[in-house]
Amino acid sequence: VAADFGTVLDECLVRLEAGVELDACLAEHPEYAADLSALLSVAASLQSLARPEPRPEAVSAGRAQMLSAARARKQAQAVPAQPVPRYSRWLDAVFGKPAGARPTLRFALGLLLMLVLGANLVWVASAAATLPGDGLYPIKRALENTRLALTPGEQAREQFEEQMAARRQHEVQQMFELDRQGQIEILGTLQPEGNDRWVIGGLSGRYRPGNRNRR
Amino acid sequence: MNADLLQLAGQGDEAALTLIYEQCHPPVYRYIYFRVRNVPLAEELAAEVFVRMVDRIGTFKNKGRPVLAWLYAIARNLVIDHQRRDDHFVWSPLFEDLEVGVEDHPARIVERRLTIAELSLALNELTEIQRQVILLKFIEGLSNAEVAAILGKDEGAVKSLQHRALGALRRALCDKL
Repeated sequence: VAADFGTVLDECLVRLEAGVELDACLAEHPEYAADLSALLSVAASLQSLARPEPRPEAVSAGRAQMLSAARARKQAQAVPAQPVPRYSRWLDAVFGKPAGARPTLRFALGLLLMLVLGANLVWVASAAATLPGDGLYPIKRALENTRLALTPGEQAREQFEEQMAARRQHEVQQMFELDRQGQIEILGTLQPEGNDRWVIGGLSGRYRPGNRNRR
Repeated sequence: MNADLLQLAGQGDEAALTLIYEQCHPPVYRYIYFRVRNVPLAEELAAEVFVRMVDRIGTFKNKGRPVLAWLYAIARNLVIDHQRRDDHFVWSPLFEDLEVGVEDHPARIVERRLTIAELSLALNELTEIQRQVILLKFIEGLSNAEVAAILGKDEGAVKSLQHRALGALRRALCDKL
């Protein structure tokens, strides 16, 4: 029913616009007369309204604003697009901006550098947890020796050597717990304990030159 | 408004952009004006609609619908953003921005102005699509076919919408009066 009324209403709107009197429309559709009259009067009052118009100066200002935005957009498009500006900016902030490098190249170089640094950090971290006999243990020792060589001041170096001695003891303790074998260097004074047992660096054992010993 | 014009506008062609502006600015302004009921604000938001149009025209997918449909959508979002930002409508005195022409009798001006103000209040009681039907058909004076193209409906649906929109508007006006 609503669709039928909608069609009748639309026909009446068209006829009224063409100059037909309202009463004539209503007379043709007496079953809808009351509803038609109400809605057609609303439509008539809408059509009789003076349309609000923007002020001419506002129209001009709006046009100028739009064209200015269009020019800015055109200029922005003329600049080569940066494929990964977010990361590129971040890398620039961290590593500085290489003069003349293109954004893509800069990003690739930065990413490579990050990968190398990341791999090194993982490698060093892995080496730090190694025990004598592990493949990376020599790296751990080399890093310790490098750090010792770079430590300024005799007192600081002695402190570092004490830390390393404690680390060796800890490594030996871990090797005992894990029942592992390996060659270990211990720096300390060899003191006799009796019955071929000696103490060195807090570790007690049978030490025979040229032999590997446990406890 | 054909696809070539939109394509040219998308390339930043100022003549094409100006043509779209000239054709679409008045209905966009009126759409906004009836929502915010404040002339300077409606002008400001209408200008922003066309700046956003320029920003997004490169990615605009023309599916055969008139550009006014897209601009109405931008305008609607801007109005909603504005209302959220301010958390209220900006109400202006009814006669604040009334311009008196020499040919207008004061009594007639008051009558017309009140009617526009009442209409604007009543329109806000309608659904978005009902509001668009009323504005496009009775304020902009577009045909059913033009309204259908903008709304993405067929003409039968527009007749039905027109019926419901006029009914809703009548009820809203009766409540306001």
